[in-house]
Amino acid sequence: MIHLRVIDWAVFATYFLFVLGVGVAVKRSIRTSNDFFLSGRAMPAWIAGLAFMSANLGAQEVIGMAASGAKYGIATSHFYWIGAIPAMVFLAIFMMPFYYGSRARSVPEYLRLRFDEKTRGFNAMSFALMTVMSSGISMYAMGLLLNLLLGWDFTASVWLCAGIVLVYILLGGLTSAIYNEVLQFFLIVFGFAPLVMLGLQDVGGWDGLQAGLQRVAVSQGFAADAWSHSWRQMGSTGANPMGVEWFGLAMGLGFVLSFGYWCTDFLLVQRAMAAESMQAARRTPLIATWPKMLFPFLIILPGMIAVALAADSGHSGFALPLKPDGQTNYDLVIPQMLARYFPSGMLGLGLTALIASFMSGMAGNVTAFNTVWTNDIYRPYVRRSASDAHYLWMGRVATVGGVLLSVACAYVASAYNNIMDVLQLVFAFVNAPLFATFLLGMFWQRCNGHGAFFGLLSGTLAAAVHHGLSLPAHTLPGMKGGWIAVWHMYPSEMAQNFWTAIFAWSTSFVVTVVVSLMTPPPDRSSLVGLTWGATPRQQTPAGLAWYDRPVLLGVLALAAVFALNLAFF
Amino acid sequence: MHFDIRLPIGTMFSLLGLMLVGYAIGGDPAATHVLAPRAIDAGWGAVMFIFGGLLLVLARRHRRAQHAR
Repeated sequence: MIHLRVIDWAVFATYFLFVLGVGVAVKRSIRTSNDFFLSGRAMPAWIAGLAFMSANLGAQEVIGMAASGAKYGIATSHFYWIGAIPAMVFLAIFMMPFYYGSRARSVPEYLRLRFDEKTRGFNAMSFALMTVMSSGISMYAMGLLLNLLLGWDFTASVWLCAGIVLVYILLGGLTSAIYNEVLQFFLIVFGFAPLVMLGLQDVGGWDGLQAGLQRVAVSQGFAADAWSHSWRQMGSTGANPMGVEWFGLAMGLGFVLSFGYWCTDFLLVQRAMAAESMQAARRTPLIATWPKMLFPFLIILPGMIAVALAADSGHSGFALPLKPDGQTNYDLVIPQMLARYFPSGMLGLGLTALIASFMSGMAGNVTAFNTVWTNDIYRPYVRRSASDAHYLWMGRVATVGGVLLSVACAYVASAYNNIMDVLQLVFAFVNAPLFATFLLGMFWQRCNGHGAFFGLLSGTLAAAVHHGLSLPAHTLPGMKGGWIAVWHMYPSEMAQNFWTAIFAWSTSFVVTVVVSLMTPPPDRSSLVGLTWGATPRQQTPAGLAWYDRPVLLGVLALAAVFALNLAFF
Repeated sequence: MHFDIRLPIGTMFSLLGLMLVGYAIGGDPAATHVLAPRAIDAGWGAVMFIFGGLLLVLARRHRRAQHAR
């Protein structure tokens, strides 16, 4: 257990005070529901961009990616370099004009404008459920970690962090959440950067790290470069610790899951929708691409350093943390590294960065939940025409409800050790088919509401059937799959996830096309501003500086990520 | 923009930086870490102080430019 001193507590207290202070400062500018849910569409691009990045930096991200860095090495960067950047560029250049230009308040509302009420309702319900579960599991992970590391009571830490997030969102709505996400972003960078520097110094620099990772790879029966090169061992599933091959990786992660998450998840899109103009909205994900592509060096590298140090434990005196059953507990890699390298003061800063990541992820979920609940469930299904003040009030009630449901989910997660698996399944079942719906909806005018709805339903069903008929190696039929029959064995859970997404997306795509062709086409005049073919092209205003041009920024981001892939090939 | 977010972020980082530097100079010597001496606190605290100060300067310049307009 880590022993904290007064200076560490003072760092915690300072952070909490400023986070609440931002909420108080923003409060007086919240007058309408548009201010509360969409920040009055007044955010500069750089703030919305950093918030876009930070809302994705939840507990699973920081703890989980460091854990994956230790388990799989630099190949974990696929979740960033092909699993995020191309989708973020696609969102900015091709999809943002429709999201922002349609003046929809949410992703489900865009679906209503483009398709019909039933498609919006389906997406709103599944999204609301996903956000609450995701937020609850993040909270559970945080409570567990603080209990294990600092001996804090699980209930007290969950309620303290939930209470602070609740207060600052109640006060300032999305504006408060976005401002705090920017603050949390810088805190995470400053909290983890010294960890990487000290760790690299300890392991003998970059060369020492490479040598250590080669020892790890060889000791586990892989080629020496399996931990230190991202593509070289992707030729077959047995050649790398992830158990995936290049096609499943590129199609499953790089296309379906990545585009499904980054281009359709309202949690992220909401930050761009809050931007002050169309140009700013398009630049929001593009600004986020730069920290996103560099974050592997901040989050994955500590995990790689830890496993390299552990491979030479006789010299380094470092051993990876273990679970009670004797298996390696990769989730504790980051906290263990903080305890190893940081003296008092810096330790407070590192732990505050960890808590900030939990809180920014939770705030992202809660603000997305209150918007979708109020605009896409309460307004159309409960009280259709009420005053703006009433919907603002309902947004605040939904914030309280969202936080309470998240806390309840945290307790459910603490009682069932497989709820994380359920969440992963829900994501694969919901996001993958949704991307097919959006792709066809935005770029094929013949696509209609019946096609979209049945495409979504059948895609979700296909994901469930594929999951029920396949099983990852070394697991038993049940939550991990094979609950109908075992027709196919995958070498890893990751490979199964990627292929579940591919099946779901393909089914949704085909069914949407077939049903749309069998039913009447939508009225073309209603598609202006909602689809590529029916909307006049966005002309970039003349005289814009290079850094204000979305297409140029997108090309630069893609070139940079290509160079990174080459450098670590 | 509702208010300049660089003001609270700059203030917080300046304050945290000062706290770390102050602790490194006058804190409990028994708290010294084996692998990371307290000079880390001082060095990184200074970096955070400079970063916070930079944000405050940028926010101030932005406000002046707005007043001038």
